[in-house]
Amino acid sequence: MKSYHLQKTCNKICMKTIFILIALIVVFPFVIMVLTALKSNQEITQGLSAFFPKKLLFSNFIEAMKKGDWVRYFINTAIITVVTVSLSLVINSLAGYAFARMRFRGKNTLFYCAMVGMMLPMQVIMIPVFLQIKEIPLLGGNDIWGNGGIGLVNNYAGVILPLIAHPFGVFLCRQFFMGFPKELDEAAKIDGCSPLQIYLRLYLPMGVPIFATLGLLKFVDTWNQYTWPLLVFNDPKMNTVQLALNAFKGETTTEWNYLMAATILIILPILILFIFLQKYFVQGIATTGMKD
Amino acid sequence: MKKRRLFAFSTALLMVLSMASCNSGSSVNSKENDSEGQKTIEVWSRGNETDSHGPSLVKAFKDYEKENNVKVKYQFIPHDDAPTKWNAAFASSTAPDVMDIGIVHMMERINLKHIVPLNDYVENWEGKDDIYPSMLDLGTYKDNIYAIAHFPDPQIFAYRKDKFEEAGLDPNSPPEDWDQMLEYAEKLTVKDDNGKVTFAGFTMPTQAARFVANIMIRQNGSLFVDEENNTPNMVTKEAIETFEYMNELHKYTTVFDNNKTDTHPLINDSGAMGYIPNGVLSNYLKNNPDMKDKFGFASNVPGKESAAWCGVWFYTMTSQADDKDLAWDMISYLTSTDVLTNRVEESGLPATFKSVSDNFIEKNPEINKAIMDAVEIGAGNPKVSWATVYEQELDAALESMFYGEKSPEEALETAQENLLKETK
Amino acid sequence: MTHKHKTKSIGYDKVAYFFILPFFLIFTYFYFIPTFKVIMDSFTNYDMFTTRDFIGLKNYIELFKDDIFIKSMGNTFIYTIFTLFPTLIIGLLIALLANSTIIKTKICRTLIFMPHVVSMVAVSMIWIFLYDPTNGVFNQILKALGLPTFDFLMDPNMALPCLIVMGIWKGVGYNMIIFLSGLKSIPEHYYEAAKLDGSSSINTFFKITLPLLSPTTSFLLITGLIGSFNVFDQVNVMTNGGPLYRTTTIVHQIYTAGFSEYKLGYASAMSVILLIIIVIITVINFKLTQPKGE
Repeated sequence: MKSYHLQKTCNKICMKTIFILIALIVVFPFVIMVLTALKSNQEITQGLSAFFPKKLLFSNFIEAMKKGDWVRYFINTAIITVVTVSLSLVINSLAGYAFARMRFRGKNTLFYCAMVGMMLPMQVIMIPVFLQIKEIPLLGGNDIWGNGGIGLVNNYAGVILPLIAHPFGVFLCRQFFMGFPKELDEAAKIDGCSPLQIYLRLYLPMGVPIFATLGLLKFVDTWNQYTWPLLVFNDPKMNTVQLALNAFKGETTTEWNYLMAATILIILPILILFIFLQKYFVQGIATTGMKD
Repeated sequence: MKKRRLFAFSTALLMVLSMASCNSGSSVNSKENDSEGQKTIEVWSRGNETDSHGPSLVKAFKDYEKENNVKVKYQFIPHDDAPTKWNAAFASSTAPDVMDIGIVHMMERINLKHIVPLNDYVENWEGKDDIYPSMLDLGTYKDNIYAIAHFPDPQIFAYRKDKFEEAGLDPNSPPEDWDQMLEYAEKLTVKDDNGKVTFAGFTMPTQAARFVANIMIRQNGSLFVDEENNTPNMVTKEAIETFEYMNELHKYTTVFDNNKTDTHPLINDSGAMGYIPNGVLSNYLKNNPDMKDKFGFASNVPGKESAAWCGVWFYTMTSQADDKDLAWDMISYLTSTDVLTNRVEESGLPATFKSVSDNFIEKNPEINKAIMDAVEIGAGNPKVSWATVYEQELDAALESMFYGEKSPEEALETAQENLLKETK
Repeated sequence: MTHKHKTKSIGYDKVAYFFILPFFLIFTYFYFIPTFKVIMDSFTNYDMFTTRDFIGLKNYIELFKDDIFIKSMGNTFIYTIFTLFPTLIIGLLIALLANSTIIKTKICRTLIFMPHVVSMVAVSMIWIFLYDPTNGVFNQILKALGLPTFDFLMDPNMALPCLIVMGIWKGVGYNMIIFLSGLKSIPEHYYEAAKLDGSSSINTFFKITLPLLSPTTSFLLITGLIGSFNVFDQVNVMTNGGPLYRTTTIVHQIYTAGFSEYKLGYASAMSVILLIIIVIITVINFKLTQPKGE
């Protein structure tokens, strides 16, 4: 009995050590990032030769935020991100549920079409998608053929819509919903529930961990968007945080200390969200009162 | 209950979305001429509002607005993404009236018919005699002036006086010719026990070494491209000599990539002499004033001839400019002596006009003299429609030589072959 | 039981179309039509602005004579294999550790997830600092330990492995999170049943955890595959395809051909090849991981 207990503690210490070790290795590059953010201009222009800053300049964070209207950039990014994440959650989980559980003609064809749509990289379809944004019918001064105006160029919707349309979330929801016990659906069907009711009463509450995961990933993705806002916005007032980082990059010189300081501030909201959402994917679906 | 909540939630979202659209919609309309009949001009510049000459440019736009009752819509485009932004804008007919481009972009924009010739305007332009002829020439292609140079960014030759002294060389005179430079490089190099260079006698980039090659081929009295016949001319006696010489110098360098200017050995205390973009070095010296006395400068170390490579920024008029006269007025305003004098004063960076260069040299005679000398003899990329491919092939040829994959001759032959395919 | 299933499969849910409609409307407009356009352009000499003439299969024929494109395919395959599988395995192992109730892992989990949070461009810039041959952090550490130093990204033989290491580092946290959600959706009582049967923990892992995780694994495999086949940002920022084209990838070649040489027709043909490769591997993947009876 005693040796069993000892082994257990030993295991625990072992696991903990491994886990902390992994975390330390992963985090190492960020240490460099923080050290860089705290360097003086002089140390920065000495390139890499000065490894540790002589004096920790926390004022760099304030200096960096003074370059441009960062409050506005954060608000812009927050608007785009919140709208994108919320709409994607609704639209993607509905489609994901249909693909995972419902039977309809052309299901597989439609699903594979959606998959193909996410296979080509951004760099390849960038210009065609941008033309779609500009030539969207009936919006932004366009006629029904998409001519005449500027469409959704220089408009938040021009960034948001292509992001919502990305099939990633549909795929994620479908995969997870497929893992849910089928018997539940059937029981509900026998009780006379419509598909919408099944979705709302069963899948929505059971899917909380998945929605937390998808929401977080979509948040990260949208928050870090660079190319779409760059192409779509023609007004410095609409800058997002990622675009605003360019204020620290010249043609041949980069203000690394400010750049890193601003980058750290930009990732903070995501980390906070992560810590907050953790309990949802840790919670597991077993606690939602499901049996078999 | 849940259903209703979901409904309320999605309605709220849609409202937010439409509000967001409307909000920005209003700013879109201001692109069109507004009700008072005030004209609007759109200008795109690379860089940002706070860096190098950004602040003086913003001031110039504000002044222009006041003086001319014209609304100036300006936007700064990040350097690395400028071509992407331009492509999207031209493809969708949302391009600006005036934009600033770099020397590497000029040929492709001409090919794509994104920028238009300015000959008629330049003829009556008072700045015509003021701009350095070599700089006006850089913006000219086949007798058409497409671009007005406003900011030169030459590669200058810099060396460490203190390291020269340590090696028993005269700290006040840079090497006089190629042979001497090679000799100096050997003396200045420091190697570790394994024979690996730890301090570069000459800073020869292993990747993106095309700048150095472009300088040295001219110094050797030749060119890699026959511009008149629009053909590559890579395999010549001079070209092979140049490559061989560069390969010799490469023995005395630490490895670095010239595209990543932050890692240039000269500003990392690990190189004794070499070519470096003026902007990089000036910025380094500004932040490290104690290093100023340790550096010596020259426009170049001549071979058979003197030659330098000069990057240039241009103002151009786009093919989508609504009001061409207004667009030209903006260009001539931005390159007027008043605006440029102010810019040189505030940024400490050179301009391409004689009337402001004395002012510039006075500010910091030692380095700025070298800069303006380099501007005067500066040349850029060959003016052929395939200039971008030329750059890629030149880099690839140098790389394959430096890594010992090919001999200088083989490397040049491969490049010639590939370029011939391109020009067919 | 089987009979019951059969009668069910006859009836189709027409409502399903309303479920997928909102997604498909915007998806078709923003992704499907552009993808279709890219495929069409691959048969033309499109240069983005001046010409767009039909030239048949000429682009494809040229592609197979293009040494650098073939090299880029090889690099992309190597990158995919050596990034995707280690990331999956390490991600799963960390998720298993993080899932155990014995240790508290909240802070460590956040730290491991951090690389995913930062954009690839920013991450690449940090790693350039680490990999720099002369004054880079890695070499400074090696020097301090009295070990020989390396040229990392500037060494033709090391450049691609360097990108792979960074790719794994960036992807592990993301894989961990998805696996963790997958693990959490496996009902607890399966494990309890296994415990009662006296199954060893390794046995439980292979008999219960892994099969029940298969939709998650399949998801990660496919998205990871698409992601690593489309590797571009880090190549563009860190090596620009060099040295000696050892790190150039398919998308990097597409980008170079399309946006610095303006051969968009040719670039589209490369994209179509890329698309075909990904589709084939995805279909195989689906066939292998599809739960029986679907």
